[in-house]
Amino acid sequence: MLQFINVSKRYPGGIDALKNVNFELSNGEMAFLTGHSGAGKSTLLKLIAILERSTQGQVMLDNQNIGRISKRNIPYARRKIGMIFQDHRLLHDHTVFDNVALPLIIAGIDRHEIKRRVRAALDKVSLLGKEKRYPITLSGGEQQRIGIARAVVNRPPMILADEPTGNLDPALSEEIIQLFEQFNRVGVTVLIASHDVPLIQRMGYRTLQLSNGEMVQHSG
Amino acid sequence: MTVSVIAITLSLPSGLLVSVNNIQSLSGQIDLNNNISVFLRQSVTLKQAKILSDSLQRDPKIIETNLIDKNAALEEFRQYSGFGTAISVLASNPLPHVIQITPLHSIDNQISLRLLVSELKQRPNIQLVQMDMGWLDRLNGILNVAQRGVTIITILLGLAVLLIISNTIRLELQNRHDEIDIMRLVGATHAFIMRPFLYSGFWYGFLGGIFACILVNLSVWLIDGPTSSLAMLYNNSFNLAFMPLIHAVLWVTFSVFLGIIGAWIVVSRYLNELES
Ligand SMILES: Nc1ncnc2c1ncn2[C@@H]1O[C@H](COP(=O)(O)OP(=O)(O)OP(=O)(O)O)[C@@H](O)[C@H]1O
Ligand SMILES: [Mg+2]
Repeated sequence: MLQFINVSKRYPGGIDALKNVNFELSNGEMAFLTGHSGAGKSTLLKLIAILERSTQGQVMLDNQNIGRISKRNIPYARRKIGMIFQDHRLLHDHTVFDNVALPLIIAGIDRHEIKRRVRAALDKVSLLGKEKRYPITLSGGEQQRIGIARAVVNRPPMILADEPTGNLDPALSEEIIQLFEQFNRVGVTVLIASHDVPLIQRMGYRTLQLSNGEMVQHSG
Repeated sequence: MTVSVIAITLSLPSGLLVSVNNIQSLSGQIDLNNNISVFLRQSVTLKQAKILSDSLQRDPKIIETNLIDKNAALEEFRQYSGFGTAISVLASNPLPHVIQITPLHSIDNQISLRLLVSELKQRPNIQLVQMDMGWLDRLNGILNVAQRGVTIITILLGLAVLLIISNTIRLELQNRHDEIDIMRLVGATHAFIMRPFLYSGFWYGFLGGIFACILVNLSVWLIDGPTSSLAMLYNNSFNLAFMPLIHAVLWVTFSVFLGIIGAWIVVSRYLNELES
């Protein structure tokens, strides 16, 4: 379970990206995070992935205050979260296979198992057969699906997606969201930051809304 | 590029060390013939000189004496120097009689040698006593200083190598900034991210060290020809020594150590700054 308790984040320079944010997300839940540009959506996700630290309050994940995790343990905490970005963040001089395999290589998993799991992940995002390709030779939607395969390949209990449909047309966006629904159906907690309001409304999931760093609505 | 800069930087102290070692072994060879020259007063006759020479011969601190007659010396000089006519102009022989002494004690026993010299100086007919290895003392002194200098230069240039490697690794880090970000994102430990950079540090150090050794030995080889023909002129066979293998191994190890340490410092600082 994810829980924000009175969380504030002030960036160096004095910008208050989050102000006293409170909310809960149960295990296995799927929710959207919305808000205008600069509302603090990315910041909220970064706090969960420990890419930033809160300046006040507690971010609890499975009853552990992850704001307090030592530097040494950050990598292991991150392995429990699959993160997806609008700009994909792929290694462009590596093949699709290598990109998806990266979290497994880092976790020290043996080669046979890596091969099996990468193929399974690519199968889920319908990219099987494109392992040897380089990301740039694939379309935007396909690149996003590489990013998703990488995020789920080591079966994390939680997926965070920051504007995963940002550059995609409505049909592709819906496909991507349907992928997340599939993972959610097998018990993965999913939190998607997006300002694609029509899409969010169509899906009908719980919505957390930020405005100027404040949580203005957190119900479905 | 980095490798050649490291090689040149390291070839300086290692080359210097090879030079010092070579001069040392050369001066070691000279140690063997450490004579004392005793110049007698102008007024001393050949007969008096012979008596003095014989009495010195009986001194237990002296192995051998060799009297050089001033007239014979002048004659020899006239024949071989080419100044024949100039010398015949001289009214009297300007050279003194000289007794060359081979002392019992070598240069290693400085105290007894100096004692002998001061004893000789006390004798009435002797004008000047000259130890041929006075300059050798000075050379050895200079070599000792040079050796200490090598240590200091090694430390300073070692720091320079550390900076060169750090800088190169820093550039590599900047080039691979996105890749590192992605690796951190999917849970890579610092050790995992650091590993390839430590490998680069290792290779920079290793290749730099190897090339430094090659550079130094190449220089020795180039200088060796002229040096041995020069030594031949002095009836001396002397060949420059290359860098001993053990030194080469130590230099490469030193260089590798600098490479790994340099990479480690830069990358761990970089990663620690990223992770707040
Ligand atoms: N590293 C940073 N340093 C300083 N200020 C930052 C930093 N990152 C974000 N901010 C500021 O914090 C505020 C929230 O930014 P954030 O990226 O969380 O917004 P967002 O809701 O994701 O916006 P968008 O929809 O445009 O992605 C903004 O005012 C932004 O300028
Ligand atoms: Mg954002």
